[in-house]
Amino acid sequence: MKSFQEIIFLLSSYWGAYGCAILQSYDLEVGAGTFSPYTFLRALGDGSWKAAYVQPSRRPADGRYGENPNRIHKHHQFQVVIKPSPDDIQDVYLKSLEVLGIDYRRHDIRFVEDDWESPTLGAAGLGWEVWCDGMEITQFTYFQQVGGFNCSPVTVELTYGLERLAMFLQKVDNVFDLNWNGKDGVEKITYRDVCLQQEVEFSKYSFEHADIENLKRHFKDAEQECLRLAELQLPLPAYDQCMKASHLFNLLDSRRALSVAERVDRIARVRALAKICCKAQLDAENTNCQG
Amino acid sequence: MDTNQENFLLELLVEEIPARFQEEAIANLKRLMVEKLEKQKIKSENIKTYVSPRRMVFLAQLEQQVPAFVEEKKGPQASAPPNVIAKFLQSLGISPDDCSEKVMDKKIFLVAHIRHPQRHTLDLLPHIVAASIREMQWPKSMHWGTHAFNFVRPIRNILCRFCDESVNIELGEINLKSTDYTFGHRFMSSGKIFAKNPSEYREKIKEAFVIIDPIERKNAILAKFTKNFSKPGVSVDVPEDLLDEVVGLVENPIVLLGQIPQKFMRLPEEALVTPMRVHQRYFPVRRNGILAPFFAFVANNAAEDDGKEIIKGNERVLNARLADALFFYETDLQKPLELHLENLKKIVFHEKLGTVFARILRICCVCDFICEEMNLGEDLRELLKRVALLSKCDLSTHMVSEFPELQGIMGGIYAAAQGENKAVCSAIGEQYKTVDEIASLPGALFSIADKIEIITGFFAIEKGPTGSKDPFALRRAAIGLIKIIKKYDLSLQLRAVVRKTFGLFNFLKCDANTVEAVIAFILDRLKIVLKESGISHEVVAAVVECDDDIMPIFAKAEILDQTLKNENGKKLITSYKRSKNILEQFGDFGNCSVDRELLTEDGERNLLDELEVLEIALEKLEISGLDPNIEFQTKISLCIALEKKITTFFRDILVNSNDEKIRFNRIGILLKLTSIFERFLPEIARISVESY
Repeated sequence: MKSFQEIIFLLSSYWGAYGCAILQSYDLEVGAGTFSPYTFLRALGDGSWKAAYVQPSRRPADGRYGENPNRIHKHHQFQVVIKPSPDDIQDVYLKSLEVLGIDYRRHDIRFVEDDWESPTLGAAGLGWEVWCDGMEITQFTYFQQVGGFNCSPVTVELTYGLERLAMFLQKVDNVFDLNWNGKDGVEKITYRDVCLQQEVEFSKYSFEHADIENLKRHFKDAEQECLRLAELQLPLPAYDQCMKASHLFNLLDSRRALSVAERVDRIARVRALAKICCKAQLDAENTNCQG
Repeated sequence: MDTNQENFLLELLVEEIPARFQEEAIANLKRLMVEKLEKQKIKSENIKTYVSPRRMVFLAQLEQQVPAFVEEKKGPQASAPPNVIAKFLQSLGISPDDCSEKVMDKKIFLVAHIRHPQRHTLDLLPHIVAASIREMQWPKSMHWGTHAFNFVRPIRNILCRFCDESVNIELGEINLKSTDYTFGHRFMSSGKIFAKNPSEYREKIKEAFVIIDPIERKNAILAKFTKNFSKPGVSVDVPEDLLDEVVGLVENPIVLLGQIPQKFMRLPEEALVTPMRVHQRYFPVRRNGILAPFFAFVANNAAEDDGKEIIKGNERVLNARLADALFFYETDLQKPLELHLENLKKIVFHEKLGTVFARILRICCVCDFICEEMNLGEDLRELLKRVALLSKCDLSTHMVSEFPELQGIMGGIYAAAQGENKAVCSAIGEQYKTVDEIASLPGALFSIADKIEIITGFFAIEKGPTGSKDPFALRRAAIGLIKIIKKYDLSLQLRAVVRKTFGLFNFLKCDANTVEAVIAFILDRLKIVLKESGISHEVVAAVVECDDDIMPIFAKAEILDQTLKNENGKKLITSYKRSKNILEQFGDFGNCSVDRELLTEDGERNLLDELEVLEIALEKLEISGLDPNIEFQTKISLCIALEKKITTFFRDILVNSNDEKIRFNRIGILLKLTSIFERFLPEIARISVESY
């Protein structure tokens, strides 16, 4: 049986050996590994890039007070990004599953169409969800557009859902029963031990207690700061503010504080920020090239 | 078919092609290949194409040589300036000796005779194949790597052989050259599969666990279903679209059977079937029509353990989804539907149109308006109000938040669970369904109210459809509305109901023309519905212009369409039009009353007599209270009966008499004739006669 952390170790060492820089999680709240500048901004421009990292991802609306065996507000993604996408990437990916102990002679792996689109990031890609015995374990995406800019060369993004993968490998039906450290008896640390409290408290926070007026104010602040920093040609600090705005939007959404029209409006505003950050990043790259 | 004759093999190996694109894609490839083969005059026979998630296959029997032939090409006129002629010759690389002169349209043209030598198909194929691949069209396509090349998903290999030889294709844009091999099933086969020719390919790809023919895969699945579920009373739900999708997801279909724990079987059928079909692509199993605790599914892999682990995995996934569903369902059941109204007061339907709750109140009113207009009884009125009140409550239930496609359906189920009247439950359950699925009068009436409210509302805030944009699907709503009215044969004064409904939006500052805009919009949709049912354009235009109530329009359109299909009907139209034309010739003649004393001929006397009788008959008919359709039909029959007299009049009577008094008298008769039509059968008067 593979523990939760062993899955992370195995994937890290596999992709590390492949040549990816193994990075640490980005230190801001994000909704998905894609939001991290390690993926989002790196998908821009013509340089090559190979990286892999675990990204804890927060989706306030998915919280269920720790009561649902499959739903959590914060889950972990193992994110692999490679630019340009290699010709044999499907095979390389499938080998990573073998490394995790998935035996193709006994399982059914499928690539099922799933085009990805992020309205808040102005990003889109084509690819699949990868099914293992009917369970979606990975999102496999060829980026086509980021922040409204066409991607060339194309980045391929593999996002493993670590909880799903671990539940499959450990054959457990409740995410909180996952064995985190691989020990038995009193030494065993479970997902429950690590994450239950935060699930309960953050559900309360994002559904009941997050202060709506504060969130709206923070959103506005982040928005203005982002625009100001982009103006100063500081794409990375500007993008931090864009990520914050996006997370604040998610919280407002989970508080059901937005009408349909307001929702659409704020999505458009975050997308505008993402676009401006991408523009600043591309400008910075061009300056670097010339300098 | 003798596949032994096949000598050409093309296989594109592609990363998994979305199931929904496959059929169209292979048809596209075939069309392009055939087009290009024909252009090169390569004779082809026995073309066979196949598609699977990972490959597109084109097999054919092609002639090895294209015989020499002479192509004729028309050039400039023989009298053209020498530089023009020289340019023409140069562009074709020929000398003046290769040209002859030909007379066309009384002018002399040069015709070039271009000699094409015998060519080898093998030499022509690389260009044909590469161009076909490059020209393929996709509903959605992508780039990959560093390549500026579009395809549905990355192409990974091209296997191409002709007469046991390699066809050397090079797609420079993606650094890909054709090979002599392919790969088999992703998991059940390993290594390269070499194939020299189509027959070897067919054999070896099969050995590599790939069924290239989608029809064969489909039949294999169906045969397995039949075999596994052969017990009497046992059946599998096999919707065609789901089956086709599954066929496009596998290269080697293996049918497996999973179990559903009994505790989930108390979920409503829709709540079981939706996650199975939509989310997991499973096929529900039934025993005597009732869902059984099993599901069939199609894997792509014949596993060593006969699929035991695959089954377990799939069961676990479905169980997780059903556990969620059951939790939501039971939580929802504890809360009476009305209590959700509080939430709906918080959910904004549209910024300007207010909350979902505000909408519910308006729909209640529209139900009332409809009942008033149709003189429906108090019982039905109360029932519809109850439907309206509860109709949208399920939007805030857990179940519908999780499975939005179950909206309405869950509302109906929850209403039944709390003991609502059966008619109320089915009307709630039917509200989003298509006209064919609406099975009750209250369901039909509520659906109409819902649609009138939404159309009028969005028109009131000037958000009606424009061009190709119809973000609130109002066109579909209008067509639904029309079809429901037709199906239930409802005599509904649409304008009256819309006018009252419009009054509900008086909190907005809106354009008073909204009512007319809504009516015009609905009538425009009605024209489409009528045309779709085969009614001619002229009839549609005429009836819609003369009426704005849906059922009479339908009836009149059908009657009129039939009338115009027979000779008498056509003559009637012609007579009317002829009278009109004559009247036009005389221009402005003021008031021409008919003086019997001035009648000189039988033909005019007879016609006038008949017209007077007809007018009285038509007047009586209008106050007779007959069914409007019968009334309309009778009017037409009465007019048709007059036809002979009209024909005789035109044959025997000279309207343009030298005697002015007689002339005006005769014009008066024609005026009477046309005014009778215009008054009693305006539809006939409006029909443009040109097409008859």
